Amino acid sequence: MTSGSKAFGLLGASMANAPSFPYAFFYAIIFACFTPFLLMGMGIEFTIKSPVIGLDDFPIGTDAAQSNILPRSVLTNHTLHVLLEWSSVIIAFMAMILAFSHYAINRDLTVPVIGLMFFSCGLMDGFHTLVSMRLLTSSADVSDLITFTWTLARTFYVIVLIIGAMLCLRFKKLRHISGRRLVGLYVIVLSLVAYALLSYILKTPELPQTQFPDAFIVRPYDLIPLILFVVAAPLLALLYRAIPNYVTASLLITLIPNIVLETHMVFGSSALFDGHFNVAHGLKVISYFVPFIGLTLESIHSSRERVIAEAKLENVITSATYGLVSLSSNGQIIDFNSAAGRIFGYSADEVVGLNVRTIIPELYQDAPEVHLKGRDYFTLDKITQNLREAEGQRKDGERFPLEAAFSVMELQGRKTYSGIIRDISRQKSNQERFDRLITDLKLSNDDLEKFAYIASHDLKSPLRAIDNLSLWLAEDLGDRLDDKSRGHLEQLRSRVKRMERLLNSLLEFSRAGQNIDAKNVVNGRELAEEIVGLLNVPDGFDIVFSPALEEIEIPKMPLEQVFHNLISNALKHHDQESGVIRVDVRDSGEFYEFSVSDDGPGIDALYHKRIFEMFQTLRRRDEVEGSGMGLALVKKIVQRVGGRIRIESTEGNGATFIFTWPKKL
Amino acid sequence: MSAQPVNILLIEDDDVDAEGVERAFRKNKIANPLFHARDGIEALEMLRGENGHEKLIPPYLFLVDINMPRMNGIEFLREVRADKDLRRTVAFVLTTSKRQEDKMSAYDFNIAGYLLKSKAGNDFMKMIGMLDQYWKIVEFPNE
Repeated sequence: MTSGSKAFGLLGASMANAPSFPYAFFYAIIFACFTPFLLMGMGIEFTIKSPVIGLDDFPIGTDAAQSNILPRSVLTNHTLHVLLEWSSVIIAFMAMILAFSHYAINRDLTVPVIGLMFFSCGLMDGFHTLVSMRLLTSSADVSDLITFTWTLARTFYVIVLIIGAMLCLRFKKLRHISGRRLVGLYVIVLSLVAYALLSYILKTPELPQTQFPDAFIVRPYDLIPLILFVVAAPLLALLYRAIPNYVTASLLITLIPNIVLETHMVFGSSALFDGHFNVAHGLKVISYFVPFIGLTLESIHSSRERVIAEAKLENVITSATYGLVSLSSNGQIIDFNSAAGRIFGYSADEVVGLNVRTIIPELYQDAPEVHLKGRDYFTLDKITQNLREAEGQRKDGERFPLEAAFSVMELQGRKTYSGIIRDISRQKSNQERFDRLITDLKLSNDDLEKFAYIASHDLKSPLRAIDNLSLWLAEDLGDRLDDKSRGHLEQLRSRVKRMERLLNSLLEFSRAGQNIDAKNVVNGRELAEEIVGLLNVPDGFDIVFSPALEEIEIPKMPLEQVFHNLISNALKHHDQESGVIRVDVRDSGEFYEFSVSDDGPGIDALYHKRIFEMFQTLRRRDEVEGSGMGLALVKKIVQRVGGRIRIESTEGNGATFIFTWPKKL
Repeated sequence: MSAQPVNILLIEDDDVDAEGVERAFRKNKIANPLFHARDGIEALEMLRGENGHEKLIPPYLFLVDINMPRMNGIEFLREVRADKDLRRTVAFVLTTSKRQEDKMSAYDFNIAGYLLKSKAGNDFMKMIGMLDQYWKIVEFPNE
C-alpha cells in the first residue's frame, strides 16, 4: 500500500529516526586532510620534480612531435592537475544527479538546492580546467587566468554553499511543496550568474596578480574563500542542528578539506603544480566526495527507513482487528486487509478491483452509472463525515450492520478513500436484547406495582366489611355472649385491624419511591422542621438535628418519608420513657451520608440483615404496633434513588442507621 | 326547615356498607326514610318510577358510592346533572376511593361533599350525624 505512506523528506525532520553524526567518516576525513601536512613535514613532496618551465614556452599549436620532448614532469603534473580537476567535476555532477533523483522520490525541496550547488560548482571547476588546458583563452596572462579562475570557482562554491544553507534554513517549513518552478528559477539565476562571471573573466584584459611567491601569504586572493569557509562553519553547524541528517552532516564535514586545502593554497602554493597545489587539488576531490557520500548515505538511510515504515504499516494493516479498505476515486477497491476479509468473507484477490458496492451496497445507489474518465463521480463525501452506520454484504449474501469511517486523501493529484470498517452485528443484537430487557423490566415493574396497588386496595373492601360485621355482632350480641366468646370477637377485630395495617403498609411499599420530586428542593433545616411537625413526638423524647443539616439543600421528597420512618421507628422501639434521637449529615462527594441514631435498646448484629426485609419485626406482633414494613420501605426508597443503607448497632447500645443519598436526583 | 322529612337515596352496591349506613341511622335515631339502590341504573329507575319501582318523591338527597357495577357513581352523577328534573338534587359521595381523579370528577358535578367510608366506628357515626344536621337545617331546592 504505497499510497498510504507519507512522503519522506530527504532533509526531513519528519522522519522518526534522524541518523546520528557519522563520526567514523568524520575522523577518516580529518585523517585524510591532515596526513599530507604530516607527510610534507616528513619530506615527501607532492610534486614531480623538474626544472621550472613556464607554460609560455609552449605556445598553442605546438607540433605533436615536439610534445614528445616535453619534460615528463610538466606533462605529468599537468595531467595530474587535469585528472584531479575532472574528478572533482564528475563527482560534482554525479552528486547533482543523485540529489535530483532523491528529490524525484521524496519531493524535498532543499535537495535540489544542494544539487544545484554542485552543478554550478562543477561548471566553474570545469571552466577552470578548460582554462588550464588552454582550451579557453583570454588576453590576460595565462597563469594568472588559471589561478584566478581557481579562486573564482572556490569563492563561487563557498558562496553558493552559504546561500544554499541559508535557503534551507529559511524555508525549512516549506520543504515539501511542489517546487519545480522554484527549482527552475534557481537554476536560471545560478546559470546567469555563472555565465556573467565567466564572460567577464574571459573578456577582461588585465587580471590582478594572484601569486606572490615570496610573501607569507602567497596567494592572497585565496584568502577570500578561506575566510568564507570559516564563516560558513557556524552556519552549517546550525543547519545540521536544524535538519540533522547525513547530507547536512557531510556539508559540515566537507568544510575540513576545504579549509585545509585553502590553507595549502594561501600559505603554501608559490607556483603552479607545486606540492601544495597538488595536495590542494587532491583535497578538493575529497571535498566534493564528502557530500556525495553524504547524499548516498542519506538515500540508503531513507530507503531503509521507508522499508521499515512500510513493513510497520503492513504489519498494522494485516494485524488490525478492524477492516481496512481503501478505494479509488471511482469506488474501486484498491486495498483490502485480512480483517476486512474476515468480515466480508472474501479474500483480497477476489475483491480488489471490484466496486465498493459489492461490500457496501447502499453506497451510491443513487449515483449515476456513468464512467467519465477523469471525473470523480464517486462522491464519497457523504460517507467521509465521521462514523456512520451502514449495511454491509458478505460474500454469502448475508447483510449485516457495520460501522464505517472513511477519510479522503489526495496524493499526487489522485483521491483515495481510506476506510475503517467494523462489524457491529454483535453490538447491535446486544443493544436490541438490552432494549428489550429494559422494556420487559419496565412492564414487569409496572405490573408489579399495579398488582400491589390493586391487591391492597381491593382487599381492603371485604376487610372493612369484616370489621363492621364483627363490630355489629359485638354490639348486638354483647350481653348474650360469655367472656370467652367476647374475647374471641375482640381477637377477631384486632386481627382485622392488623390486616388493615399490613395492607396499608403493602400499599405504601408498592408506591414507595414514586414520589421522587427532584425539583422541590429545601434547606436541611426546613426539612427538619417539617419532619418534626409530622411526627408525634412523645414527651421526654428529643429529636436533635445537627447543624450540618442547615448547610445542605436537598429535594424534599422522598427523603422526608425516609426520615419519618426511621425516626418514628426509633421512637416506637425505644425501651425507656425518655431518649434522644440524633440526625446528622456528612458530605461524601456526590452523595450525602445521613445518619439517624437513637439511644434505645439497639439491635443485635444477628438481625442486622433481617430487619430490612418485608414484614419482619423483632418483637412479637402483639407487643409492638407495627407491620414490620417500615425499614423495608426505607430501604426500597433509598435504593431507588441510588443510595445504600446500613445499620450500626449492638444490643443495649442504641442503633444508628446510616444511608447515602445522592445530591442530585 | 322542610315540612316533609327528606328521603335519603343510598346508592351502594355493597350490602355490608349499606347495612352500616342503616345501623348508623338507627343509632343516631334518624327517622328519615332510607331507600337503597344497588347501582346507578336502579337508582334512576327509582327516581323515575320505571321498571316496577315506585317513583321516589322529593325532597330527597343522594348518598352515592363511586365503585359500582353497571353504572358507577360518577356516571350516575353525570346522568342526574343532565336530567332537568334531577339536576338540582343535593348529592354526597360516600366512597372508599381516595383517588384524586374521583374526587375531582365528583366535584365537577357539584356534589355537596365527598365523604370517605374508611372512617369506621365513631367517625362514621359523626359523619351520619353531620348529614342529619345538614338536612335539618338546609333548605332543599325541590320544594
